[in-house]
Amino acid sequence: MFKSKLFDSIGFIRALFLIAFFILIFLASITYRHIKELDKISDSIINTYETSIELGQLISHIKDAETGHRGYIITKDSIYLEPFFDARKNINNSFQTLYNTVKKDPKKQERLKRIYDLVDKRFSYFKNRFSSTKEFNDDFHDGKLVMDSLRTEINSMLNTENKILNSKGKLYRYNNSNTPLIIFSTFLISIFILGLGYLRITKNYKDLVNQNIRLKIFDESSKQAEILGKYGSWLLNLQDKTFNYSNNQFRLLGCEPQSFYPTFENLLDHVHPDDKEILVHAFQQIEATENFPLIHYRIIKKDTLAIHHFRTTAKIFVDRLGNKNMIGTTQDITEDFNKSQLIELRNKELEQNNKELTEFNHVASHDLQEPLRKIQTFISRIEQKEKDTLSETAKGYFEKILEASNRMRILIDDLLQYSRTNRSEKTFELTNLNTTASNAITELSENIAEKKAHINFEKLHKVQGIPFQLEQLFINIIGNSLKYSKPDEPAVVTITSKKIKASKAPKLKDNSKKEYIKITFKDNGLGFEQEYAEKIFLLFNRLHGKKEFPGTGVGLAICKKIVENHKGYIFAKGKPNEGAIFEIYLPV
Amino acid sequence: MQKDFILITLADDDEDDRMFFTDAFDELKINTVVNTVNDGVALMNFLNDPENVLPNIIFLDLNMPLKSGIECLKEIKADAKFNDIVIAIYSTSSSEEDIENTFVLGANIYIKKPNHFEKLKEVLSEVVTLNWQYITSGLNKDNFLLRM
Amino acid sequence: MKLFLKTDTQLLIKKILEEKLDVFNVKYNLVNTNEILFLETIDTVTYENITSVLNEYGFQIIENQKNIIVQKIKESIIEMIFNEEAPAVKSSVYLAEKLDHSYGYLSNLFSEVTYTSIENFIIIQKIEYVKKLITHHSLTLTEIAFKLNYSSVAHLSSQFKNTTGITPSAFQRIIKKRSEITNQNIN
Repeated sequence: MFKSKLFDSIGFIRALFLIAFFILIFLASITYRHIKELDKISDSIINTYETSIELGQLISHIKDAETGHRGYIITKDSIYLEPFFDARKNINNSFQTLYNTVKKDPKKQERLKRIYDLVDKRFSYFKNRFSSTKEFNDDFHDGKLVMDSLRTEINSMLNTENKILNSKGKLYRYNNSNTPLIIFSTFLISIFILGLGYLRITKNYKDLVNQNIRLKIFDESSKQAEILGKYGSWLLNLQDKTFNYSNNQFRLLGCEPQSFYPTFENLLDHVHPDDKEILVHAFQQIEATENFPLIHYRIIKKDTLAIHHFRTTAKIFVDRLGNKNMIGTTQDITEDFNKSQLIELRNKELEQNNKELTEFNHVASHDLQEPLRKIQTFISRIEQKEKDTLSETAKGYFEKILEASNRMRILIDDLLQYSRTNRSEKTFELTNLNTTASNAITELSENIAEKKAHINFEKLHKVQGIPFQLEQLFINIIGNSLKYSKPDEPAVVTITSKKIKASKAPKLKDNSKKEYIKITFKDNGLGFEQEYAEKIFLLFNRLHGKKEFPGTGVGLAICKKIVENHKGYIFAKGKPNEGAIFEIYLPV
Repeated sequence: MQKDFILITLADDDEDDRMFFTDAFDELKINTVVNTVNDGVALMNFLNDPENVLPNIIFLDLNMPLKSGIECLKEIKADAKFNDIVIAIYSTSSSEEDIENTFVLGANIYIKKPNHFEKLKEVLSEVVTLNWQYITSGLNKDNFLLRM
Repeated sequence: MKLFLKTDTQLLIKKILEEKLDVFNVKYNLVNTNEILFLETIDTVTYENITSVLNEYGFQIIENQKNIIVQKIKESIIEMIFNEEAPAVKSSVYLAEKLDHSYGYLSNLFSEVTYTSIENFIIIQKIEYVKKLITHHSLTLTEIAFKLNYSSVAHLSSQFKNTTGITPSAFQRIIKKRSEITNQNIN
């Protein structure tokens, strides 16, 4: 995203400069035209002035001629004819000049022609000798008339020139006032645009500088991370098959950073001979599929000659120009590898140990049964056969022996059961707890009938579990409730189940999204002190003496084991004389 | 009774258990002829010997050397000429699954060795009586399942 | 390949009896599958031969009156249990009526001959029927409890367990697994 923003900036700046450029050109051309205009106008004005002046001169010369002529006529002194002849010369000069000025204008040329004819005509009336006074008076009069016409013509021509002068003057002043404004505003706009461009460039530059700084920091921290994490990175240019290693990649191989040109061949030199094939194969895969698999191989470090375990993976990266590169990471996992080897070994040892212990427990319990049974059976035989020969004391003793051996038998049975919950194959099946409950009740039917107890359950859920173990669980808990029921009150056990989210059951201390089936056993028996709620699940732990209630303290421990086998939880709540509640959570 | 007596064979490697067994039947007032063998191999030899009359009921201990009770059970069920024999497993405690497994493999009866002699007599009497019921009432022997 | 059969036992018995008795060339009448009326006198040897032949096929000759009554008691009980239409009457009443003797007499006679009580026999037969219904008809326990007039499934379950030592559901499981094994062996 950053890339494109910068890119757009370049376009933007380019556009700005282009616009500024065009504006300047525009500006220049307008200025040029303007000056040309002004040139033309001033030319025109100069022209007008020249014409007016020359016309004035003309009239002046004609008046000179008149005055000279009149002087001569009056004095007959030829000294007065000098200005007359001078005047004629000047007049011709003027006309010459005027012809130049009106060269461009045919109308003016016509007029000038008329004026020239008139001047000629006037001069024709400048005779020196007159035949009569009448001729003289007529001449003088005609001469005056011509002079009048001449004056009129010249005046009108002067007017025309004046008008031209005015209009051109106006135009000149108009242009003069507008031009600077236009030029100035255009100038401002282009300055503004240039200013924008400048700001943009400055900003981009600052950004680039910052990016650069960050990259440098990143590069530095990356280098440190590589050293700490014991990994190195490399780049393979797929076009020309050249490698680029990061500094730590060199160090991983046991070499100085950038100490040689990395190639595939000299990489293989570092690899353990048995694993060379792995790398060859992996790099072949790049050729074929452009995929680099995650590979595990050993290298022999150049400096220490120790064997290290490496893990490498890589990904294809196509840059903006379409070049394909492979960016790879290699990690030295020797430490982890060794650690996990050790852990595996320990695990195996522990598992073996556990198995042996369980087997021991099972065999011990099982094999203990047989001699015990013999003891009991032989005693019963003696009691029977030697009934008459035994003394009362002896019979009493045998009773005690039988009682003790009965207790022993129960204990062995319980221990056997306990060992069995560990040994069984953990194959889980979908189990309908309603069936489990009814089976448990059937197993306990004698006991239930004896205690006149009621076991209620309804609509229990289905769970994934080991059916035999779940049945044992139910039997043990219900049995427990029956055993510790109030002597004068028939026992009532209620079993319910519901689905519950882990988050809604704070006891579980599980915040995941897991769901559990919560099975609740509630009885109305003697209950217990809540402070013992966790102890009762301990192996051999009892809250009563063996005289008060028979039992070995194994039953609930078996329940806990079964629940743990199912990765569930069991809790007990009790109040003395108010019954007990057992809550079992089994994962769905 | 159809015949005069019921033929019973016990396979058990324990001397004392054999003694309890025969003594119990001696004290019971049922017409039985009991013979005992010491291990699985001896049992199969006995059964396969054409000279011998096949028993009505075989009591089979599970933990025997040379050939276990389960192996014998499988062999007996596999042979059609033993189809009429009722097989009772007579053993020390086993897990629920193991007990059920013996039934699945074809045993008719499972008896957990009692620890009181009188109880043993009761159990054996019950077994023989029930077996007799099956024979006389023409009930389906395949459905004869009993656990004591 | 599996063949499912339904047997007409009466016809079967009749055919066997006829087949076997015809060999002996004596005149007889099959009154029903329980009674053969010989229409001429038979000497001891033939009688013994007939007896041994009949024994081979599982026919027992009932020796005396007592045995006959006991046999009749058994048959009545079986009929009472297996007959679905029978109204639920107390077995003692039913038997006394059917066999025209007092129940006490019948009960004593039965125990003397068979070494078990009538009640016990009834329970055994009932449980046998339950087993049959489970294996061959795949009825649920609720259906069976209803059919055999048990007050509840729990009652049925506990009687089953008391008689056989295993629960009905365990029994179902075992039968199912056994059939799976036989199927595997065939395949």
